[in-house]
Amino acid sequence: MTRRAFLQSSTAAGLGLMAGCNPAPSPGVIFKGWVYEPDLVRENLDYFERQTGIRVDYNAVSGNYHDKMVALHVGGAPMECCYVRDDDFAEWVEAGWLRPCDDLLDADPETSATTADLFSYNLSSMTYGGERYGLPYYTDFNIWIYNAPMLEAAGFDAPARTLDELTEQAVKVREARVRTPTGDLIEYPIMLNFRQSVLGFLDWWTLNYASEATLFDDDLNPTFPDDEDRRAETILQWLTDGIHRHRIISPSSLTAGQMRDHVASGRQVYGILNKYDLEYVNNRRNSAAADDELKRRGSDAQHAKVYRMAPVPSISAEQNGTLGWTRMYCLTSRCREDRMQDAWALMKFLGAKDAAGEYYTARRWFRLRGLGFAYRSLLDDPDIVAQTEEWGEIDKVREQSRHVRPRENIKAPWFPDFKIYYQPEIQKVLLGQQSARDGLGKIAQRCRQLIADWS
Amino acid sequence: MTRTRDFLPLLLNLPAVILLVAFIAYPIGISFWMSLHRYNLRRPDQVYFHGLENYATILASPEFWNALWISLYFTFMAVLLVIVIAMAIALLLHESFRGRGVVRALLLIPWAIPGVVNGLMWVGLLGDYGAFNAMLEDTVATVNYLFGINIVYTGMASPFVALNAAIGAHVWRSVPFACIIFLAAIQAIPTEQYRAARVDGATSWNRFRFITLPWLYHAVLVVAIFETMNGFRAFDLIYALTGGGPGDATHVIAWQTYKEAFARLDFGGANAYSYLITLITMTLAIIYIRLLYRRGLVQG
Repeated sequence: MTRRAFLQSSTAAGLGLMAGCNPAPSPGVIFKGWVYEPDLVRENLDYFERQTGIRVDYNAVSGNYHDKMVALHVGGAPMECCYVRDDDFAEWVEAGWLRPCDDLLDADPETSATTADLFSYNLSSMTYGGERYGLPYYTDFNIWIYNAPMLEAAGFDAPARTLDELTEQAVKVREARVRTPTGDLIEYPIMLNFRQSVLGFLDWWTLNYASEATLFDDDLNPTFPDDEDRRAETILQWLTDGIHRHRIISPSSLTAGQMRDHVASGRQVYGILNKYDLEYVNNRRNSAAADDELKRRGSDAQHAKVYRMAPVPSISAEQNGTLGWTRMYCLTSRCREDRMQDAWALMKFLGAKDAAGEYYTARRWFRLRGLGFAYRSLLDDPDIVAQTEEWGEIDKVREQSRHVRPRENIKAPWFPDFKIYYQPEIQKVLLGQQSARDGLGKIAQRCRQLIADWS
Repeated sequence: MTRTRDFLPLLLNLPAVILLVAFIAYPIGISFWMSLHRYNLRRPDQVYFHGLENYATILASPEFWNALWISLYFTFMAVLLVIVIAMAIALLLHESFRGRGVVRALLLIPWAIPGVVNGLMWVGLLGDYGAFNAMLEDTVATVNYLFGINIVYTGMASPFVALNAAIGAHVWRSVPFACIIFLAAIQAIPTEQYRAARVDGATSWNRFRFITLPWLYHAVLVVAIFETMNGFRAFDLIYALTGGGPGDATHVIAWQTYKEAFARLDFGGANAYSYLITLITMTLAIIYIRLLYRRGLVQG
């Protein structure tokens, strides 16, 4: 190659690169989400495109969704619509990255009517400052699960209802030398998820809400450690005693991720799971516990109800509650005006009803992956009822869904700061490095400081 | 003509200068400028200059000092272990033996593994069902049995185990690079000196102490500076292996910076954290160089 030819091709390549920095805008609706079954998402979108003729430019954002989306939003990447977690919702609204959709709902009575069908915790999670921003993608709540055959082997026909009863029962289960499907002794009957993570620590809220504890008042001031009957402190002390004194809670609770895999391996008698994971842990394809039980019965079925759901143990038996969360579709503030109606049509298809008036996407996600839904009426859908009965109990699901709460301070502007502070502090209590009261006191003090900083 | 000739070299250097300014000088400058601002992405309408406030806030926070001490321990242990292990392996690989080429090639594998993958691999080894975890658990059980004591093994839920496991994983990945540097330095040592020492009856320890080690000081300096920077920047491993826990046992300073930037979206504070890390590593590098120069161990 001559020097002249080299210079010419280098210039051409450079110009091409510069042209690539400013590509033509996508002709379709730009839609981004985290990586969860992107092939199924694409199938849904293909169906939408066939129904409406609207093209969707879908991109599954790999890696840490929050961090990458922050970079995309800050960089002003073109985007009409995206997945949003309730954890990030207030932060993204405050940053001005999301667009309210009240005007679109007002102009669309059919979609607006679906609001009345939403569970209240979902609706609340998609509303900020009195404005509605999203339509639900999937949603669920945490449930208490127990291994029925193991409990039976230890001489119990029902799970404990209160925390004190649970301590007693778990000690007896351990002493009964119950074994896993691989023949190992169950050393710690209970495993919980107290690993530090941006989306973690939900078990802390679940246990508090099960005991109907209120951790924040209406102005989001912390009410602990002196909340009613000191419930938060009682629960934290129960957890600490469970790890160190009674040795019924696995210390790995502080480090283990993917709880459903631990449960599916049959090494746990009790735990807290997302409700939709009940299908996973009772499906022999994923679960040694289910497979072992079905082999013992000589059954060819796909699901075994080895793990069953129960009300989350609470301080007293009459208390009931759990934590729920919401994943939603939102319009971004950079949604192009000429794409607005198309983007809204996509939002409706994914988060409400399709052109045929069906909750198509929500039903399909449930059917294929057991994902929870935000619409009450679907709990009476015959297909959903029949499918739930294969691996769970619809009556218990209906009952528990009446007692679900979102995290009280999730929409505080300081929630992300709170999240990175309280998790290590709770862990320090669980490690025995500080008392439950001191730990909660420090968290409350930090909350008050954050409120002052952000006011 | 002369003027054109004077101008031409500048013109030819211009593309490189533009790239350096665009990709190095500008980001460094803008990052420092941002560190002097209140700049939280959650409040984009409230960005304003507030001088050294971010630095003052960080220096007054117990989280910073805790993270600094953990980072210092992490870095000290990592630098020490990397130098000792890498030097030992380099000395071994300098010897002639069958399959030396294969062993040298295999040595590079840990270095080629990305940090996050390294972390996930160690999660597998040290997790509940991991081989290392089982070995440690059995060791503790044996000690309990032999000495009639009752040490409760809690694996990665123990702050001590978690922090030192993270150091171990970091060292495992860092040793190959240091080893290559030491090996290159060892190969440059004139063999006459060893022959002369042998004639004088020097033991192998004395040959190492008085010939090999002085020749390696420059390499030690390079490895020490490099590993100090690596130790202070350790983030991906912590992210994958411990997630900062248990408690705040593995809250190293780079983890704290990440939390400022991406959990709190406080880009002003995060940039201030980054500059503090830079300042600390620069200070340590200067101390290393001064110490070794003062002793005349490294020639300029």
